[in-house]
Amino acid sequence: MREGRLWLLHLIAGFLMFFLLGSHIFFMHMAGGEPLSVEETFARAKNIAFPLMYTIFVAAALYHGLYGLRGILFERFHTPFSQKVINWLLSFLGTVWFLYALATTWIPFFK
Amino acid sequence: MGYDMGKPVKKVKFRVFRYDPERDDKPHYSEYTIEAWKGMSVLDALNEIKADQDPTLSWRQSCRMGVCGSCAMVINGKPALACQTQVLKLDTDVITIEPLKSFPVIKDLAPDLQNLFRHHTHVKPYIIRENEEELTEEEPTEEFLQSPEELEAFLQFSYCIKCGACVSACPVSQSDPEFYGPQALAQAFRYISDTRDEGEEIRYAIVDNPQGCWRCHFAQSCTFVCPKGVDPAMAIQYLKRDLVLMSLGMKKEKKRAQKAPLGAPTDKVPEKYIPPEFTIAKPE
Amino acid sequence: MERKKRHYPNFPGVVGWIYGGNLNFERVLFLLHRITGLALIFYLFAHIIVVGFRAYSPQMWEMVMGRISGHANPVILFFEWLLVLAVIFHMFNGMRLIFLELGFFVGKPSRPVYPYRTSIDRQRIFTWIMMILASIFVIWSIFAFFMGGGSHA
Repeated sequence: MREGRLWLLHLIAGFLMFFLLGSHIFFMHMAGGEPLSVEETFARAKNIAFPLMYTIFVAAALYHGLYGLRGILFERFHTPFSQKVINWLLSFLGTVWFLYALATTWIPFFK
Repeated sequence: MGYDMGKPVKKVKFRVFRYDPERDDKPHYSEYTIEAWKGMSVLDALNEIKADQDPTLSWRQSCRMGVCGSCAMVINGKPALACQTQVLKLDTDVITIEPLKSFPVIKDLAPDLQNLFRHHTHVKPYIIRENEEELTEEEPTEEFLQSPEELEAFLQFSYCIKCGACVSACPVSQSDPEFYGPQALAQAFRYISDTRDEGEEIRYAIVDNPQGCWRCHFAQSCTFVCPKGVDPAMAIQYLKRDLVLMSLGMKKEKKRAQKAPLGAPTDKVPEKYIPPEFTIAKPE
Repeated sequence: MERKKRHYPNFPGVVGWIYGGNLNFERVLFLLHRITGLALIFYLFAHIIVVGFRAYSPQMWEMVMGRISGHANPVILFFEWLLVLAVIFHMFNGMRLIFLELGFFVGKPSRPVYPYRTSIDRQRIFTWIMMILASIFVIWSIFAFFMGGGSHA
C-alpha cells in the first residue's frame, strides 16, 4: 500500500497546486504592476495567511516535483538498493530545500 | 506463387529492418519492390518477398488471421499485426517495417518476447481460488454462474493475444524494461474483475510496486495500437482507482460468483444469468 | 573466426519519450508533461534559493534582480514567459490526468465489437476542453507579459 499512498499524495499535492500555483502565478506575474521593493515584500508577509499559504505551497511543490523526478529515475534504476539511495537522496534534498524556504517565508513575519 | 486474389494495383516499396546476429554488428534496411494487389496484407507481402526475392528474410507468423499474435511488428512507425494491416490501406508508396521496439531482436523482424511473458506470469494470470481443489477436481460437480454484466466487466481484457504491440508503443516500457507494461497490468485487472477469482489481494500487492501500475502515466499509446480492442490504458486506471480506494478504506467488497450444480437444467438458473440472445422458451 | 551470436537491443530509451513512432496525440501530451515537469522542478530549486536572498541578504537580492529579472532584460522576460507557459500546460494537463488516472471519463469495459471504441475516444472531448482552457490562459499570459503588466517579484 505504501507506493499507492505516495502516489495519492502526489495527486493531492498536484490538485492543491492547481489553485496555489495558479494564484501565485496570477498575483506575481500576470496581475501587472511595478516590482515590489524588499520592504514592501516584508510588509506583505506580516499577514499570517501569506507565510502559511506559502509553507503549504512549498511543501506541496517540492513533494510533487520530487515524486515526479523519482518516478523518472526509477525507470532507469531498478535494484532495490539504488531505489533506496534515490529515495534517501531525494528526501534529503527536499528537506533541505523545504527548511531553507520555511525560513525565507517566516523570517519577515517575525521581524 | 498462388496469389491471384486480385490484380496488381500498384508498386509498393518495402524498407525492411534487417539484423543477422551471425553477420551484422549493426542493423540495416533492405529495400524490396513488389506489386500490391487488393486485399494484400503486409504479411502476404513479406511472404512474397521471401518467396521471390530474399529467402533470408525472417519473421514470426502462425495463424495469419489476427488470432495468434505472432506477427506484431512496427509498420510505418505504428506497432500492428502484419496480417491485419492492408498494404493498400496504408496508402503510402514506401512501407517501413521494423521489429517491435523495447524487445531484443533475435533476427530481422523476430523480437525476443521473454520480457513480456516474464511480466505476464508475474501478475498470476489465472483464476485463484481459496479452495484450490475446486480447480483440480477430476470430476467437477459444480459450476460458476456469471451474469452477462459480470462477464462484460472483464471480457474485453481477456481478448489479449500477447502480441506485444502495447509494450512496444508504451513510452515507459521503452525506457524501462522492468516496468510491468500495459499487457501484464491489463491482465492483472482482467483477473481481479472476474467474479470467479479470489486472488485479488495477491494481485493488488503485486502491482502496487515501484515498477507496477504507478509508473503508468497515461500516454494511451497501448490502447491506440491494440489490435484486439483490449484497452489496457483503461484497465490500468481502474487498477489505480481500486488501489487508491483500498488505501482509503473505501473499496467495496468484491462480488463473488455463485455456484450451481453442474448441468442443472437451464430453467433453474436465475433469469439474470441468461444472456438476452439465449432466452429459453419455457416448455408448455 | 567464431562469432558470438547476440540479440540486437532495440530499446529506444529516452529517445522513446520524444519519438516512439507514428502514434496518438496523448503521447505528445505525455512528452510535454514530462519535459515541463522536469523544467519546473529544477527551476523550483533555483527559485527557492534566489527568493531566499530577500530574507537573508537584501543587497544580494537587489543585485540578482538587477541582472536577471524580466524587468532588466527582455530575453529573460521571454524565458520567464516560457516558464509560465510550462506552468499553464502542466497545470491543465495535470488536472486532466488526475481525473483520468482515477478512472473518470475513460468509460466502462464493454464488449469489443469492431470498430473498437476505446478510452481514447471517450476522454478526448475532456482533453480538448482542458487544452482549450489552457490556451485561453496562454493568450492572457501574452497580454500580461508583453503588452503592459509583466512580472514583478
